[in-house]
Order: sequence, then structure tokens, then C-alpha cells
Amino acid sequence: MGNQSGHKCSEMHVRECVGFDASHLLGAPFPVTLYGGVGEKYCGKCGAVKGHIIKDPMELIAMVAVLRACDDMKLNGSEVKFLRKSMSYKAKDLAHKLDLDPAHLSRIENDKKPMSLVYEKLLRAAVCLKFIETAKFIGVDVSHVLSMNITSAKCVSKIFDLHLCLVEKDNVLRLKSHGAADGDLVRSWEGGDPKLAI
Amino acid sequence: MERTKYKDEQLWLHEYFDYIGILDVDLDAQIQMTHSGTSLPEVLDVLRNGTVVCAERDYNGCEFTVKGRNCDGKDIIVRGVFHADMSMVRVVAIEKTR
Ligand SMILES: [Zn+2]
Ligand SMILES: [Zn+2]
Repeated sequence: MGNQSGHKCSEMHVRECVGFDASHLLGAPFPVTLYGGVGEKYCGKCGAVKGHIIKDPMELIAMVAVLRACDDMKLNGSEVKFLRKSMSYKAKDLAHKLDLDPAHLSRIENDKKPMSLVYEKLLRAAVCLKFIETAKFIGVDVSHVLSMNITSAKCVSKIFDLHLCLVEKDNVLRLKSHGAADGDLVRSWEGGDPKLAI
Repeated sequence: MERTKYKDEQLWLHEYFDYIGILDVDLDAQIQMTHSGTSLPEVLDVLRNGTVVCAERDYNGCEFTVKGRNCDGKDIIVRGVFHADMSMVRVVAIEKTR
């Protein structure tokens, strides 16, 4: 791990990373920015960032999946795939759960066919049930997911963007609203802020 | 799944995320993840369910290599370190078969 200054970075320090773009790490096809809950490792000699420390990655994955599943904007193919992968389901297992033909699911994931509303709602409900503890914590009503009005992507130009503030409480990651510049945090929330446990 | 020679390390790694679950991901590993299209859920799956194929302990902790398959049938190899003092798993490198 050499660099311009010719030293081997070894003296690692950690500071809080504010505004961490977690979309690549999570494989999320939409922006996910984390405020808090992430540490940044850097070299004490040259200051180069060497990595990130995530306090509860399992909970983070569950939170992002549930929040996307509960947002009313229509899911595109890569989002369907993202939700499937977050649940660690093979394509054929998810197809079976949704009573869909696996070849059809594959066309949906590749944006060759749109997902019909009925199946889309079932998928969203499956995500909430898979991560039921997280869904309960955030205050999601699974029946709402089944009756939600899904907004067509054509009607909205805005991309789905999650600004999450993760705080640690009793060694568990908790979600807190973050005062993002546009004041538009967990966009999906019809009832306002998700329930906070802070 | 193939059997492991490193039962202690594997058991520990499989259980770790249910109890402590702090994950340290090196920037190099993050870049490898982006390039190979490997996401955190896949890496966690491998750590929690994969086979430890190599482990070397010293006073700092333990270096391990764990192999697993993702939900799309691709093999993923994760190299990491378990810090003895900090009770933390650090991911150093990721490899995914095409
Ligand atoms: Zn350095
Ligand atoms: Zn950072």
C-alpha cells in the first residue's frame, strides 16, 4: 500500500464519515447517503482514506430494502433485482414465492417487461415480511404496501434518494431523520417521519 | 457445501454478524466490489454461510479466506482479517467468478 510520499500506510485512525455514499456498496440503483453510523479509516501520516467501518451492515441492508419497498415510486428492473439480492433469494426462489414464471422475472429484472402492479405489491410485501423486525421498527404497515398507489416513473422526474441518519443506540443501528438540504428525507413517508427510537 | 478444516474460525465467522456485526471494508475491497458488481448483501452471505478455506492465526488476530456462492450462482472469495482485540471483521479483498 505505497503512495506518493513513499511510506507504507499503517497508522490507521478512524473518524466519523458524514455523507457516505453507500449505493455502490449496497448495490442500490438509487442514491443512498448515510449520515452517521459509518466510520472512515484514514492513514495518520498522509491522511489517505483507506476504508469504511459499518456498524450494523445487516440492519442497514434491511432498512434500505424496506424503505425502497415502501416508497410508492414504481420499481424498475434493477430495483427489483436489488430487492431480491437484499433478501438473498435466487431468481427462481423469488419467482416461486411470487408465483411468477422465472423467465418472466428475468425479463422484468432486465427491463424487458414491466412488473405488473399485483406482483410488484407482492414483492414489496415480501421485502417487509422478510425484514419484519426492521419494518416494525420503522413503523411500516405491511397492509399499506398491498394497497398503496404506485406512482408511475413517467410521472416523476425525481430519482429515489435516501438520506439516512444512522445512530447507535444500545449497540444497534437506528434510523433517524436527517435534515437534508431539500428537507426531503425519507421521501416515501406519507405519514411524515418514520418512528424514531431516539 | 464442502467441509472446512477450520471449524473454529468458520463457526465464529458464521455467528459473528448475529451478535456483533461491525464490518470494516478496505477501500481496495470496495473498489473490487464495484468492478465485479458484488454488493454487500452478497459479501455478508459469503461470510455468514461460506466455507473457510484458509485461516492463519497470530497475535493480531486471524487472517482468513472464505468461499461461497451468491444467489446468482457465482462463486465469491472474500479475504479478511479478524482483529483479536477489536472484535471486528475487516474485509481486505473480494473476488468473483464471471
Ligand atoms: Zn499514509
Ligand atoms: Zn468518507
